[in-house]
Amino acid sequence: MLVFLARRVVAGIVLTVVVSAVTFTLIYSDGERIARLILGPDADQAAVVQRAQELGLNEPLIVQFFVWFGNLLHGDLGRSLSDHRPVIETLLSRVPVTLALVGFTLLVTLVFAVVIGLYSAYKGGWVDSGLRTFGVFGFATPHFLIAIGLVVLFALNLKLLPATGYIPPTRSLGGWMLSLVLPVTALAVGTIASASQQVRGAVMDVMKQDYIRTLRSRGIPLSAVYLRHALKNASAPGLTTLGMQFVGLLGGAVVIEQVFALPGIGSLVIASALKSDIPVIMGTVLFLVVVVVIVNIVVDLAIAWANPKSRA
Amino acid sequence: MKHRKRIVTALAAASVAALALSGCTPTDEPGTDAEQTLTLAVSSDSLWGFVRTDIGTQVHQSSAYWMPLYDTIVKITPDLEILPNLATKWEYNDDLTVLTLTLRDDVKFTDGTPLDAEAVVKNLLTFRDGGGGEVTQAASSIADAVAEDATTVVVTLKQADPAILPAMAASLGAVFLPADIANPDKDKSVVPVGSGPYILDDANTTPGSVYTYVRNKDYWDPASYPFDKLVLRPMADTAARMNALKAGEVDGAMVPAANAADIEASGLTLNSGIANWAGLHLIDRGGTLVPALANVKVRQAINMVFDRESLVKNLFQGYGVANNQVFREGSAAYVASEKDTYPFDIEAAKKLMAEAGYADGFDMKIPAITGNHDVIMPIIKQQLGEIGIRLTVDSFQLGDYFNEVFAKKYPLVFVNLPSFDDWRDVKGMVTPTALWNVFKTEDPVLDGYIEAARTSAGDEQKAAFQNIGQYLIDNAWYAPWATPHVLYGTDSAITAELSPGQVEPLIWDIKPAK
Repeated sequence: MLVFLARRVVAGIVLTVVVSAVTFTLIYSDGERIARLILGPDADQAAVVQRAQELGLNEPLIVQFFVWFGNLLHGDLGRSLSDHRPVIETLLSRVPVTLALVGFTLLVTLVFAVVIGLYSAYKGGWVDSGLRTFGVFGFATPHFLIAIGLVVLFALNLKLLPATGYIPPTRSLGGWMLSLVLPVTALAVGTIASASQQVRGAVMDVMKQDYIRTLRSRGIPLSAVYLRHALKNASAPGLTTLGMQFVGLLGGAVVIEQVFALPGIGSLVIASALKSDIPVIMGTVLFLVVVVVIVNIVVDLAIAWANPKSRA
Repeated sequence: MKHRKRIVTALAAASVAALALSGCTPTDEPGTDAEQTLTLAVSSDSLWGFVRTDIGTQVHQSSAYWMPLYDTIVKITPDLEILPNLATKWEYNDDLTVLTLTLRDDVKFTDGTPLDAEAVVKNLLTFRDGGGGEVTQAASSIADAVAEDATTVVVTLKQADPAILPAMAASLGAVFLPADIANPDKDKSVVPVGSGPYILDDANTTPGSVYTYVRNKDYWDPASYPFDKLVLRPMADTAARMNALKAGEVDGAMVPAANAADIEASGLTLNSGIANWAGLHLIDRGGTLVPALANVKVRQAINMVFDRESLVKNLFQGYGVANNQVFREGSAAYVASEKDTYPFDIEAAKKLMAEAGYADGFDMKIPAITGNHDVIMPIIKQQLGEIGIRLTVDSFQLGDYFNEVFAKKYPLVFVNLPSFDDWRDVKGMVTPTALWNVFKTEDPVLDGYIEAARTSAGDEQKAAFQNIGQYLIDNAWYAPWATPHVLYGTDSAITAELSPGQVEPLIWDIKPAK
């Protein structure tokens, strides 16, 4: 298991460095462009060249990358071109929002997908058909449409939940939970729809296995067979799907954070891309790559735990 | 039966939990506290980090974030009247090249440092030498600034500049702590030090989400700022802004024309103002990139392929006025007798193209902002295609777009340029050194009119502005479509007035409704 873990970690580090290098090359290839973004469009060319030199943007790209990487090892991702705050500080202020959004969405997805998937497989018939139809609609409907529908119903008409905004848990735990209810729901509908179908399919496959028949022949109740045996053996494809869902959710968070005015990584991505705030874009990409790598390692470990054969 | 009982119990528990959570306030309730709170949605996030360091990057900062913290030298009303603020009075010499400001003697920064003439001078000169940006442009006429004594600043201008005082009511007039200017690496996480009516409530501020300001208890003019607390919530997304406004989570928000009817139907108030002129800016009118544009008949033909009334109705949802001039109706440079010049007439435009020797048209490129210009570009392409102009659209992110434009890579651009007052408009886009006179086109005749407008007043100045307006129409420097209205939605708790050129009201133009 340790060798398995070490292999995954090394592969993750290599992937992070490669993606960082490629991204760095793409966005730092024109140093004077960056200097002009800082100084403004009508700045003198001489001032632009001077600023590029001051920032080391005239150095060969490989040198710049190693300087950036060296600073990264010291926890320094540079400063934003727009608000001059350290990028690491900006990221740290945004990460909890996105992690809360995505984390709760995953949790909700996990619970509902297992319940719906199992129930669908167990019941069959019109219940299964109905839940599968919901799955198709849920998967096909864009996050933002669901978000707007939820806001119109629960915020504007029923006035039960806030339409926008984010309250840090340190200020108000209740306010924090309330501010996440609609965004999490908007994001979770699609993932529940998709993951529940995966669980249903995997459970139905497992239920066709010979050992399930053996278990039934021993008189073990059907519900126990589903919950204790089929679910565990169907968990590998479910966990893989969940890992992929996490990556997809980070993309979905970009839209949802905008619609609900949440100050997370998603809204930071859009704002920094529109402003061409290069250091923030670079820092955000790095953060996303690291998160994806970590999630994949965790999913791989979970699958390996559930199914030892997969450790090879 | 047992199961049903459990379900009922679970539902009851969930309901109690929901009700308990509902008791928690998700956001600051606007305008309802005993202490008056003003909550506004702002269409962009704060860019400054609140401490002025790199002047060249301060171009597009929304005034909403800094105005509560930093006093300006003077104020300006929506009618463009200049009012005293830090400066209690001001006077020019005879040829309008020396401006003497007399400052209040009782203003201090929140750290106790006196706001005196030295501080004002340091700020003005820092802006002037800032290395780029619109603020530096505004300060470009300043030759020198000297503190004559603690309350007297003498500003010497390179030449008369009627725009200098209005600019001192905006970012050029913001007075920052001199020590902060001298220390660009100052930690931005500290609470900013200003002399304005509010101070930043750091404990209740979450960058990117909510910025809270509380009263500066030592402020010299509290009566002009009736709100005890100010909460700004950056919301770039239109849907978020509209939802927050309709849900009563904010008191005011900028409203796109497409959402105006919905906002009015929700019982909210729509305030309108004039911020921009919209249309094509034919920046390569000297023909550097596209020789055909040097021909005035080609530029006139371009003016005649756009149905302005239809554009106002469909593009701006009726919120605006069709206008063939860059100056708004009623301003000194607006030439009323020319309001019907260049009507929508494709055949006449084709004839002009033929007379200019371009019956078969020509090729041009135009830059576009990804996401912002998606609707407009196909219209421009189609209409210019009517007279044989083959347009290629190059798309850029916002940050790169302006660099591309000012690098003189494109012969024309679609613009929504600010419409302030006559002189600031002329200074911003007509004079040979204007930022938006991208190719620095000049003509001695026009220069004479500009000089007359700059150095005169009253009827003489108005006549000079009329000459400028007439020249620009005759020579088709631009192909304007309309003066669109900017719309700002407010709830019943407040009133707001929009100054020309502003897409959101200045903090002192927002008042409690009662």
